[in-house]
Amino acid sequence: MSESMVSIQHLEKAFGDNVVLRDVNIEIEKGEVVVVLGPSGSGKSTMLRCINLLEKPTGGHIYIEGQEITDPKTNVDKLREHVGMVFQQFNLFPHLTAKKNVMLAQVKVLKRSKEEAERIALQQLERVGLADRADYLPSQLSGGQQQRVAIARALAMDPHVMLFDEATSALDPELVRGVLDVMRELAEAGMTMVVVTHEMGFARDVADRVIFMEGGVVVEEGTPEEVFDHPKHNRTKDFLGHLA
Amino acid sequence: MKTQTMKSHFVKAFMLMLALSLVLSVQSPLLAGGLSTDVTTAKSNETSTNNVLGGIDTRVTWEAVTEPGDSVASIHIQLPEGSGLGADPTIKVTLLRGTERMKDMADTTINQDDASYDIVFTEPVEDGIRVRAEMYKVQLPNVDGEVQLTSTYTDTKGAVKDMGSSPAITVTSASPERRMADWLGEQGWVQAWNSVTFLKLFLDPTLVVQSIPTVAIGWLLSLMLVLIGFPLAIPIGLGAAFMKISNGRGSKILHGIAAVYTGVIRGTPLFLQIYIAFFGMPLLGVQINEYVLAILVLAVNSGAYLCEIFRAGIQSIPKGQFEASRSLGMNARQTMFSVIIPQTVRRVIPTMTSEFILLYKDTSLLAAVGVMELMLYSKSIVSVTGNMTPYIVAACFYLVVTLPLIRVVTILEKRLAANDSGSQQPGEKKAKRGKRSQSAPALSGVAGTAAAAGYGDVGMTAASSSGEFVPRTVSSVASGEFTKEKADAKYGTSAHGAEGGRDE
Repeated sequence: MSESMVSIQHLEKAFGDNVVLRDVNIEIEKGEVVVVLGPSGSGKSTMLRCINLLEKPTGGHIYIEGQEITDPKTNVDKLREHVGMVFQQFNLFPHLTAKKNVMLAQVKVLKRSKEEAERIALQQLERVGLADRADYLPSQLSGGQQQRVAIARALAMDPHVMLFDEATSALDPELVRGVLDVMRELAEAGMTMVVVTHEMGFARDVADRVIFMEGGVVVEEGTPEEVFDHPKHNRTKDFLGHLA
Repeated sequence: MKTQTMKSHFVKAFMLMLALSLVLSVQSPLLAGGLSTDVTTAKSNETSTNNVLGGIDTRVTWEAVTEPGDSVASIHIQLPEGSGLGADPTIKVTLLRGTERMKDMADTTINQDDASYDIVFTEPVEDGIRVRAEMYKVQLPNVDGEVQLTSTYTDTKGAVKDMGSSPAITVTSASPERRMADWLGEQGWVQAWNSVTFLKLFLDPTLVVQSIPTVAIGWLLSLMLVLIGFPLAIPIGLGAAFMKISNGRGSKILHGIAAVYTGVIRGTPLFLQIYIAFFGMPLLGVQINEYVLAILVLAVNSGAYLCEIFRAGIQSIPKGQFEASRSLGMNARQTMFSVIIPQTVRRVIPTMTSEFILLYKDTSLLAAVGVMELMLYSKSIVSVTGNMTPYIVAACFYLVVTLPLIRVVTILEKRLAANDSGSQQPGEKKAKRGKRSQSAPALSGVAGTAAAAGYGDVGMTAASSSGEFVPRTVSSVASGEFTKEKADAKYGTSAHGAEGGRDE
């Protein structure tokens, strides 16, 4: 069998008595773009954060490229090198310029030379259209620009899979497009992506597969056409109806 | 045989010389003329010692006794070379027969030019009389070493006879500030100023001048204590802060150690800690240089406060920063040192500066155990002069350091507050603002994500914006946890109060 990029099996997560995820099973193939939809509190962000262990699952197994990350013996830092993550709040390092933000982990984690890290940083900033902002501090950039730097920062680590946690939710509407364009290009370039978003247009256009979650379980999944145009479950219909 | 006679010749010659010198020594006073000086003293003119300072007014006493056959008509006393006379110099001549004071029978002349005195007796002074001359406002040469007065007398036949040199007076050279003070004391405006009791007691210009060099030494020592102690406190505080925020195996024990450390140190007065260290160490048989011990006490004390400042600072960094760093594959250590600490430093510098100011002032407590520092140096002058002026001088020396630093804290806090409020809304507007202020970008980025993440330094900013340098409270307010505790405590107290009310 062809190895999945990400394999989530019977994932459970509870914060104390509050069960956030129950029996979540998702397979993500290499090069696939999976968009996760759902109302807030549905557990979609928690699921995403479990994939690079920012949240520790309380049950089930997660495999990345065949390696079980939920195994306590797994080197979490090593795993995270190959899993890029983009946050709703960008989380750029405010004391470093855009270029240095992109360089830091390359030097510290991948042990690249400063020169190489800088070359790659400029290359990635170019890719997200911010080569001319390389020496700006995050506070001197717009939210959309900050998020694109954050994407460049993740890409510089040569991730095998990229996780987007509501990457455009904190942005003013006019800034969303630039970020989505970058994500779209990334998808076209064949990057494996798991995207939690509220951007239905993006989901419909870019996703290979759409997963609808609610109440900590996967309610429905399928191609964008299946989920958007012919939702099987009432809860999916309700959710999409609300948006329309 | 020959050698033997040679020997005996030597012995004879030696005996002869001995006899001659004996005769000479017995006769020498006679040869000198009979009247000889047997006492010369100068009154100490330094308050805290018995030193006789040169160049400053003092009183010199000179005494001589007449021998049988003497008949002294006049005496000339010459002060040592380099001596001077102060304003309105006087001389008082007394003649004593045994302990009986004779009627004064002398006219005196003071020669300002060569600092000499002429005493002319109205009646010749016969034998067995002690002549005492007290010379006021004499300024002996400003040197370190021994000086002598020389004198001659004239007998009734008109023959001038040398009296030889007087016993030596040991002179210590006066410091420039002492001479400056002496000079100031003679100025009219200073005398007018000092005629007001309050001004003289608290700000005597002559004492200001005199205390500055001494207090300055104390100032340097205090600075040394804090400039070594405070940097030592930083790793202590940082270590304790790491212990407090550690999670993982054994972290409970680390939390416990750090909590006991900060609790005990912050919960007891520094004064008490100094006493325990300075009196406890010798009891344990540990002999440590007092300055080293002082630095250690200061470092351990300040470390506890810095621990809370650092912990609050670290915890005020948004969680997203940890997550972003970890998601890039950086381990906990890399995250701490490359991402968290650099951001923390900017935030805690104002509070740290305030802590530095406090520690600097607290060096004064060391005076209680006799560590010579600013406070004790000024006290040493106060205890001699009974005047508050040296304390005022000490206050100025504290202020020279603290006032500029307080100003720095205010500026830094304002800048921090401006950054926090300025980065609430990420947007193009802010980007433009940012571009304009590119000349000072280093600080402008500090709190961007913090504010964006919607939590973090609220407590810190609130405390900082009060504009006062009260880090000990700031550090407790700075963390959400502490604020909560405080609130709980308050709630608890009020609940108790309510209960008490019911009981009554």
